Amino acid sequence: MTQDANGDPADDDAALVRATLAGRAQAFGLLYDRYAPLVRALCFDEVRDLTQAQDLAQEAFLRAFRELPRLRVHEQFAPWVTGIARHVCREWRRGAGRRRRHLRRVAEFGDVGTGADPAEHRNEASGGDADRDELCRVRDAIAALPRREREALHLFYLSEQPADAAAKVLGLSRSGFYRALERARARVQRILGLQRTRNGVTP
Amino acid sequence: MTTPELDRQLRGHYGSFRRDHAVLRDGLLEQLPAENAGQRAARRAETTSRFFRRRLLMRLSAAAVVGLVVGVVVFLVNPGPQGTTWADVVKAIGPVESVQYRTSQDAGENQFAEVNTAAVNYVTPTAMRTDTWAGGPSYTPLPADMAAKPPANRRVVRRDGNEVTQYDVHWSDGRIDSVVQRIDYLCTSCPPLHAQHPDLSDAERVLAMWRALHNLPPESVLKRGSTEVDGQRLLRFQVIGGMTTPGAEGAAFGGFILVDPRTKRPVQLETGSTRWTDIRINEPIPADTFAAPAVPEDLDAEVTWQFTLTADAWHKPGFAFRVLDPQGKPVITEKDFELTPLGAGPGGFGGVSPEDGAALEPGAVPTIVSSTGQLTQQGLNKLDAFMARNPGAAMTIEITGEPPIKRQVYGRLSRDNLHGFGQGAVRVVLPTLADLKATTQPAQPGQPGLPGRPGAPAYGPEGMMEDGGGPRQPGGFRGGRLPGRP
Repeated sequence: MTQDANGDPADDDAALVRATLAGRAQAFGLLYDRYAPLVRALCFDEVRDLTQAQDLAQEAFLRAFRELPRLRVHEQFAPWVTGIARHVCREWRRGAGRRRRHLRRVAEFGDVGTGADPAEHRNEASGGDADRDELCRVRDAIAALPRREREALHLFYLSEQPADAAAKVLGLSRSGFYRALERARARVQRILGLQRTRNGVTP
Repeated sequence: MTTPELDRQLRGHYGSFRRDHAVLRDGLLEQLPAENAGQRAARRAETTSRFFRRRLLMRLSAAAVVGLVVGVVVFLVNPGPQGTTWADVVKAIGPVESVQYRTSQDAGENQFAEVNTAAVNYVTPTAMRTDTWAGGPSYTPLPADMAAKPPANRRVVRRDGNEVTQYDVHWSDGRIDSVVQRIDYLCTSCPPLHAQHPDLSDAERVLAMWRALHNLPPESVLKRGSTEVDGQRLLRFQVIGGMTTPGAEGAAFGGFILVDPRTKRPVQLETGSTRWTDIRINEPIPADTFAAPAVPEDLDAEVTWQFTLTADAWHKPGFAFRVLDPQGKPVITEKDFELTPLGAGPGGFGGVSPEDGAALEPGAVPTIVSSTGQLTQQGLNKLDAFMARNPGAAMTIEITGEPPIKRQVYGRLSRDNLHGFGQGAVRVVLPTLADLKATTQPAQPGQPGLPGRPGAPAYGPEGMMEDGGGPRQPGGFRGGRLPGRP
């Protein structure tokens, strides 16, 4: 992942941004490799649909590429692109609301479904029903986390940056980042334990 | 659940966000615009100046709009009466050229309530119109139906050169039942004082009053806070001492003027029992406001004329007074008039002093004396017949020493028995030059003077002295009548 952008020694975000602005699209590919999973996770938090999250992440990176000349502090690419992703998701939600209302009106006149329900799209995990159920429980547990803790979890598992860099994305110190991460893990663990107890599974 | 198990499950979850990453990456890179970001950045840098200017202008415009909105809101919420001075009001008024206002008169809650009246007045230096509605409540806005409902009376007075034309229109049950036209002509050599018409004098005084407010010293105006009138908060100024308010001259109390805080223009005036509302200064007045009223087909307008000329000119050999038809043929001439020396007529003209009439002894007819005259019955019939047969026709009045007078036949000569003679529809007033000269001398208080003399009753449209021979109050209105007061 930390390969050079067309031979540039620096592999930090700022260097990759500069390389992209210099016309090297591959440098933007490296930025994509670095942050696309994180952006997809953030989009997933908003839409609860993996395919849709992928599409929205693509849109976010496309906009980021177009607007890259406006990025004044190149080191801030990660917070910047996640901000674009959130904006894209907000737009999608507004559009989704309109789409749902439209479909509901259409459904009143005909036997048409009311469209995608995020809950219906949780079955993208490969494997059997048990795996899918387990994945759904994890996702529900993560969705129940406070935003800061959830994003710390995303960064820990998806960012290949050092903890310092991940903490910067959230605007936290290194220790603050780890505290948020630990709280998130403990909370998820507790939620999953409660779910198992409720389902009759011994923790 | 153990920590490794939790970690496994979380990694399983987050692994889904890496699924198809390579495919998605390639797809994105293919979608990237052919034009690379750097080139666009460079081009943007080239156009930065124009872009910046455009954005700067947009920001400045937005800031200006926001500032304006905030200012307007703040102003509306808090008109800032403490910040408005009389000087601001004077500045907002500007040079006074015209005034429109509304007056009302209350007869009280009694059997005379039906005589409650409200009037709308239009005043310019050369014209005045008053529309009067009867039965309106006092000191309230005109009833909503007034715009649609014709007034009870309308008086239009306007000056055109040497002529003052007055129209009186009266409505009854929503229909015009009488239209009267009165034209006063003043000879070119006569002093302007003779041109005074009660309504035009009032108009001049109304304008003079508002103009005088421009010159009020600061100590003559007190700020009296604000008051709410019909849901609108108005600033209240009190004008004290020295203000020449019609009807309140000489009173220590001048009056209150209510000012709209938004426009800083006066909208109401209260002085004594008089209240003017809906005041509009210098607002455009439609040109047809002072036009001759249209006469219904089932009605003939009643016309009276009066010519004020000098007796010296009238009796001069070769003098001619002729009303010519469109073909130039005379309809009446000076020979159709019957003259009566002042003070010698039957019944007399009340108010002529013994001093003025003393020389007019029987048998000792002076060569030239001030006199009045009217058309003989025969002359009246000739002129009226011409007018009846030629409605709307142009006619010319030729008077020796005067410019030709062009008029259009408007109606029929009045047959009202105005003065007991029955021929008063066309009259001449012929003061001598000596008497005209005397008009520049003020009359003694309490002593009636010659027609037109300052301080003395003047001839009204009918040739009679309107004030019953009493002296006029300096600067006062005839009979105490306020301008626009019905």
